[in-house]
Amino acid sequence: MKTTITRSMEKIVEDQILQWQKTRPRQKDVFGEVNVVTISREYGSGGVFIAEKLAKKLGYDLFHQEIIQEMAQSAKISKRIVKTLDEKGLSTLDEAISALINEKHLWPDQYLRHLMQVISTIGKHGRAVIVGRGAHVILPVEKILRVRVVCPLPYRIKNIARRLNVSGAEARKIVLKTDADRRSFIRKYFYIDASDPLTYDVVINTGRISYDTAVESIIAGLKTLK
Amino acid sequence: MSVIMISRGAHHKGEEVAEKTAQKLGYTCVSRDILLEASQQYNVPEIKLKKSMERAPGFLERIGFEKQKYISYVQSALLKRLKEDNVVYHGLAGHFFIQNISHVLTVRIIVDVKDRVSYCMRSEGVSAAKALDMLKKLDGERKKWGQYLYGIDITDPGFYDLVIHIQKLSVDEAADLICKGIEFERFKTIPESQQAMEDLSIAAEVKAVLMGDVPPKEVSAKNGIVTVTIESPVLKESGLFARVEKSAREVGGVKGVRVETVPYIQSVHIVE
Repeated sequence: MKTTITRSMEKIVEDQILQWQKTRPRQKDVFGEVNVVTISREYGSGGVFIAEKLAKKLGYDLFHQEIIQEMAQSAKISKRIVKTLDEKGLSTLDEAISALINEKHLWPDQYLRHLMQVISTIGKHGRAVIVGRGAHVILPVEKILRVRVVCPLPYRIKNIARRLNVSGAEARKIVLKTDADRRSFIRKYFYIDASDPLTYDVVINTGRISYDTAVESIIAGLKTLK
Repeated sequence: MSVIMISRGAHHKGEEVAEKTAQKLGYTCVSRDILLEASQQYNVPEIKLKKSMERAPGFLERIGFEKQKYISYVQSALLKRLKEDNVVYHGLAGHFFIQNISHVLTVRIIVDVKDRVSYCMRSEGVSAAKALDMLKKLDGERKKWGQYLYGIDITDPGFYDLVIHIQKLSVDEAADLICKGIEFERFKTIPESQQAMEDLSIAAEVKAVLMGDVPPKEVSAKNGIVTVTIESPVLKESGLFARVEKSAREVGGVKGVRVETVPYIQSVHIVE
């Protein structure tokens, strides 16, 4: 099973590298410097759907939390990703990671080092929507739009109950557990509270705004920063 | 054709964002002038209204209706302005009063603590430590206010459509973002949402008028028909219904009045 996951992950990585090699030199971004959107979300708020729609609309690459997680867990894969950078990119990557470690007083283990390398490489290539895994903390603030998607708990429970076809009580347990896991991941590695709105540029509430409007708002945000 | 409500803490640059947004959209910017209007309409000192909107009620205020009375005056004056449409409102927690109106965009503006401290130091002419102390106190008061009156945390992002952090986004860019947000179909005023706003305004004015005589438990309105719920120790007390109805009917836009009572003590049925 592990081999299958690794193989498919390698395929995903190779496809992504090919994509970077093929398209990057020709594509100039309409949004200028800020061409990466990080999306942090409360579980069940629809953040993933917003990320998917956003990436599709902008023609950006989408990096799901699970993909990033797999990439960062494998030394081989993370190395392969970092190698896609040119010499200049490689030297600034190390500098940026060291600066981040010093500034945030981090104690990175091997996983966090890989995670920072993978996310920083994606950030350097640009034109990406990255979901979760602390990308909003790892990447330089001036190069990204940091979005948080929230939604009142009762709506999120309903969404998850419908999506996973479970009872309301079961959905509530799953939502609370997943939120707690995500919060503790961010706290463990970056010493910040994932729900603190001051760690984002924009917070969007899907309890009141549709996914499409949320996508349009994020694009408006990018245009504003152009 | 919409309403934008901008919530902000003390020294959060919300005022600048609101003014800029109103200027870009050609909307009216409304804030503390509401207090003056309420003070003139209900003949109450402006300072009392200001305090009621900024500080959580003390022990004695929780017993009487004084604080709720002042808040209802401000609410009434605010809704009267909001129903005129094309308004940007900021401050004094007005977004509490307009839940579930589709053409209202609710925004909270936030700023890093260090920026708030330097802003406060400049505007108040105090030291950094004093500024931090002042901000903590003000934030605490406002948080308590929201929790006491509405049972919510005003800093919770889930309470707003959008939260904008003034850091990388400047005041001007935040205003641009709000202007773009308001262009979405979802925030256009439609006859139903305008009617809902009118009803809220009528209900608020009826409540404000009744607060000085028979403080109601709840007032709501639907298409101009007002329902007043009052807590009464004596069910159907003679003259009480008529008094409430008469006062409510004097408010403009009221087409009908229904008075309901909720007893203080629930009735007990004795079964032999």
